[in-house]
Amino acid sequence: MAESTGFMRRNWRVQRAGWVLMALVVLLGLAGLFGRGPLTRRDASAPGLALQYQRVLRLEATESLEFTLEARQVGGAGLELDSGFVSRTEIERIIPEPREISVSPAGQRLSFPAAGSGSIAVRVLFVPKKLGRLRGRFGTPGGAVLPVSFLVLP
Amino acid sequence: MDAVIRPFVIYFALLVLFRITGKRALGDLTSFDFVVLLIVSECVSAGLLANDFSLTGALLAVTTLLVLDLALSLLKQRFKGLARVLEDDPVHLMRHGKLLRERMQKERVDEQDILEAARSHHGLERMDQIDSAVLERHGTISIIPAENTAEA
Repeated sequence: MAESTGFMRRNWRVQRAGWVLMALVVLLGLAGLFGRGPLTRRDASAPGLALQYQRVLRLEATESLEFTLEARQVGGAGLELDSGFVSRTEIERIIPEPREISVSPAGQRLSFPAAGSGSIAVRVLFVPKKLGRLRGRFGTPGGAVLPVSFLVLP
Repeated sequence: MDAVIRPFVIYFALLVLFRITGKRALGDLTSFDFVVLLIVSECVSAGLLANDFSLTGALLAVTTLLVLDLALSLLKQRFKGLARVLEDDPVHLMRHGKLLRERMQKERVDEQDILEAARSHHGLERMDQIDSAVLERHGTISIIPAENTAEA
């Protein structure tokens, strides 16, 4: 049997370095560096609109945007998703279901009925369809706009 | 985060379940054991990845499973008691040519299993050619031939 002690030792060294690296990946994954964790959770807000999202997303995985809309107008609240975001993702579900969705070259406008004034929580579930940088502009009709930038991992 | 937590939970749940079910070596699986194993992996994969079909999610899940396995193997090396809890002890099924029936029954091993191991590893055909048989921690049966077998 051919045995090289030098090779054996180098192999062990590389293996142990690999173990440390793997453990590090798992710890960073737990913290959310690769998405879905506290490290990449972000909050953004503008008058009448607040958003909680993950800065890092994964391709072909169901992700979510948590909006809080202030229903000031009589009849409900609205939310606008820009065309850049809509074209690079697949909107899977919107909770609660909007009363109306109108489409324009600028993007999609979602309308939600509201019984009175107060805040409405809206959850948009979507699947990123393109790798890399994803930009979104979310706003209320005629009101504030939140520009958000995501990173989509493979 | 969930791509780490899910494999973690599944790893330990399977560890406990398979430990309770008892030893059975991968090489000694019957066709149906193998089918059950495939179904188990199919059931687990949904819980493992949920709605995440990304490469990142898959690699993170695999890395987590391997790190857990590695960490446990290192812990088992350091703490022998843990190795015992997780992997059990070897069990004598036959000693000095005498079958230990109660142990065989508890470990769900019969004479045919012992003879099969004797045939495949030592070319022995009869019980009287075997001195001892041990069910190893990983589920294989080791055979120690009787002393007069070499000349027979």
